Amino acid sequence: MRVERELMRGAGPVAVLKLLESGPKYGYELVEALRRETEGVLEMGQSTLYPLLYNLESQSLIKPRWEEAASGRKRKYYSLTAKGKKRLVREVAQWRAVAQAMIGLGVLSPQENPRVEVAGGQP
Amino acid sequence: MNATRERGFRHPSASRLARLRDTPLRDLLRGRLSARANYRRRISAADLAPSLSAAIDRSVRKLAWRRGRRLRLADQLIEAVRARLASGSDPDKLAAALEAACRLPQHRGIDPSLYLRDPLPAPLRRTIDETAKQVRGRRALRSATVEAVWKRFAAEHDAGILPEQIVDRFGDATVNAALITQLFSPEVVAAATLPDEILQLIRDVVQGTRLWPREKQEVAQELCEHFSDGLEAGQSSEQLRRQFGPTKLAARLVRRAKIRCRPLAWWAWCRIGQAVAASVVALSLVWLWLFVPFAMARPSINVDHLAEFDKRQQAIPRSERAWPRYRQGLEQLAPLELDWEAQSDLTANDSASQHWPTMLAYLDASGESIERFVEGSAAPKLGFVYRDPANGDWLRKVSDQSVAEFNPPGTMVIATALPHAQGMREVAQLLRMMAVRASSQQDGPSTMKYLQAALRASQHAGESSDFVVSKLLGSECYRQCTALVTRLLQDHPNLFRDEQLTHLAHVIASGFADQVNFGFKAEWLFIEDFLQHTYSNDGTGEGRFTSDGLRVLTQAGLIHQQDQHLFAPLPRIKADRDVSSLSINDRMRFNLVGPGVSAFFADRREMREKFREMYGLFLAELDRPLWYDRPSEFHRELRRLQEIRSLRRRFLPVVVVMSWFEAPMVVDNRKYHARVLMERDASLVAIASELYRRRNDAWPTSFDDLVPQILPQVPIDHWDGQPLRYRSRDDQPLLYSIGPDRRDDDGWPQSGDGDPFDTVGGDWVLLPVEVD
Repeated sequence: MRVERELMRGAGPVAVLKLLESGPKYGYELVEALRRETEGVLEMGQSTLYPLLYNLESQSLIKPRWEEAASGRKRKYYSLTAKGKKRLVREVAQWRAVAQAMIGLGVLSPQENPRVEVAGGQP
Repeated sequence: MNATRERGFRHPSASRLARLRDTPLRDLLRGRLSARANYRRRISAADLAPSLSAAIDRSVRKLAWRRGRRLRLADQLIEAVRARLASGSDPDKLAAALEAACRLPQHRGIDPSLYLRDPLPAPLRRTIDETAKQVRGRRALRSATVEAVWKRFAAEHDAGILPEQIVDRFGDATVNAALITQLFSPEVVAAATLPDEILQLIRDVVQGTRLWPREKQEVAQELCEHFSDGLEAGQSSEQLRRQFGPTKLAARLVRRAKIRCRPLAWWAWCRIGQAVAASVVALSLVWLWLFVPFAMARPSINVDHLAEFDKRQQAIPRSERAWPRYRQGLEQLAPLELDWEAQSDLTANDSASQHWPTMLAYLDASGESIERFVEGSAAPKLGFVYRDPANGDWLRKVSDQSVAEFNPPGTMVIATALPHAQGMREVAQLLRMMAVRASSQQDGPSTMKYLQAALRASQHAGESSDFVVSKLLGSECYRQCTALVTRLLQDHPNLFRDEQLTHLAHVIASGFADQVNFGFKAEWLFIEDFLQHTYSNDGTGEGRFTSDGLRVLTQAGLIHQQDQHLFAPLPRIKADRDVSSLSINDRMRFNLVGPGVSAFFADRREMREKFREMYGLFLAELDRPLWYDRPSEFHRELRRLQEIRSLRRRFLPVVVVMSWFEAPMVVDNRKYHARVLMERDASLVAIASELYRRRNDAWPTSFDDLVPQILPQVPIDHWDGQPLRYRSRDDQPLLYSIGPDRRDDDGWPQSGDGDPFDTVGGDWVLLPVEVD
């Protein structure tokens, strides 16, 4: 299922930040990870991903670095900055609060998706 | 080394002269004959195979123009050739490779070692050539393209890939060239091995971003790597294209995001630029808002004041008009061959002037004209009609104009030409000179005849227009006549009979009566005319200031020197010219600044009211006697308008026009007027004294002897409002004014050359007349 654009606008940046939490990644890797990790729900076209990355870069949440891969090609790796890490913590808290509210409203149910837990728990 | 040709390479001459020519000046100054400025000497010294020497020579000649560059290139090629020879390459093959490289059109500036490898196969060279040719921009970019693609092809060729495959992997030359043009850099493209449709997509995105070249390169490189990753992951070009999404959206989003990444300094400049642009737009809109009504409004010229004047003159019966006779005499009059200075001397000193003999001859030759003048002076009114066709011959004589050209409809009152006023001045002067001549011949009746005619002509001169300039002219002619009467009575006391003296006194007293109150009453016409030439009129008296009005206002002739600074932002327009006479720059300045300046002006009704207020103050100022010293309301108000910026902006036309009223001639008018009156009174006192002497055989000792028996009233001294001082001294009547210092010096004048009327210190003696 694909989410609406407005929802994607809020979820995309936090998803990318979350993916970068585990270590630097390059563009195609992020695309693939998003598709794989979210089972296609948050999959986004590259026409959206790269501008999103540049926006995060402009906010100093991530920083790019060109590195030479084993194949000899140069790739642009993105990694979280300290500011990006703080933002991620804040965003995660907010999303949890939203999820909690949705559960309270009956929109979500903890049983429906085992990856969503109540506030205070670990995702 | 020898200097003979060997397979195309010509060794440089070893002669001293040739070595001298090839030595840099710096070495010559140090006494060295190095001959190191000629690259051929380096090739020759390298001792290479002749074919190689010739190939290097040709390459250097083709690839570099400047001496320093040629020397460096020759050194590089020699070094590279030596390296290849050391590794066992065949000299002829190396030479062939160099020759092949030189045949490429975009070869200048590329790494020379590329020339020395084995020649690339023809399809590869052709692809390089096609790509480089289609790259747009500077030549250096094409050279860089050649180098980058050549290196890539050489590497792939060395790796054993077939030329056809290499070309296929490289893709379409046109697409690659377009991308290189976009990126201003061939490296990204040369490094990528992407299908044409992907390259095309990247090019579309990059082109759509309209970013800086460096930013474009970065985006393109990242996208190239992204698609390469996708291809490596086993996705097809079509899948990758589909996943990428719309290129236009991508370009727009990338641009927006990349711009956010730009440095703070750029953002500062950007914001400043935006602020400036917004200000320019706002100012332009304001200017347009002001300019449109400024340019559209037209003055409503409804009243032709000269036509009104003519109408009044035409109401005078022809038999009562003096001008036709004067005109007849003026048409017959030959020009007086005396300069202005000589004429002034004659006016001041008449028979005592050194030019008197010339004047006598002129009077003899002008008998017919003078008789016409005498006839004209008998008429009650001047009756000059501006647009009378009968004035044609006279106008052509005095101004080379036709009647139609003379003050045509639409002429501003301020610009009215008054050639007839000058004519009347001549008439009055000639009649006065005739009186002087007759008096010198002791011819009392003729003297009386011409004096009377001169006095009447003076009055007619004052009627030449409604304006103060004519009144001043008439007054001056009259003053000269009265001064002459006073002097004649002193020099020739028995020239006139009693009844002639009495008649003369009546003529003097009555003739001037019409001109006593000449003070600027008609100048309101000028203001009304100014308003109708500068403001539009909606029929109710309301209107706005027009561009024509600003043209009138900025005419240099109208603006006083002291007010020039008020018009500093505006160009000066010459009198009788319009805006089109300005240069393009000045016209732009006029249209740019004009709407802003005139936007501050009061509307027509308010401006007229202000004019009326100022004009009222001005008239009150004129009516003040000389002895009444209170602060001038007119000057105070005018200074206030000039000094308070908001008032000045609002009533600038009033400031300009009323400053003209404040001109020295006008300010001095009160004093001048007082002088004319006192000289007139002096002539009347002289006549009365002479009559008293004839009756009593003695001079009167005070006004008590004259008033009211002979003189109706005691004349006043305009400097203090008291009676003129009169007494007898040295058995002669003494009449004097205390003068501007308002101190009675017992009738003794200040010694010196100044005008005694206006000289501080001493008195102004009216009787007896001082003889030069």
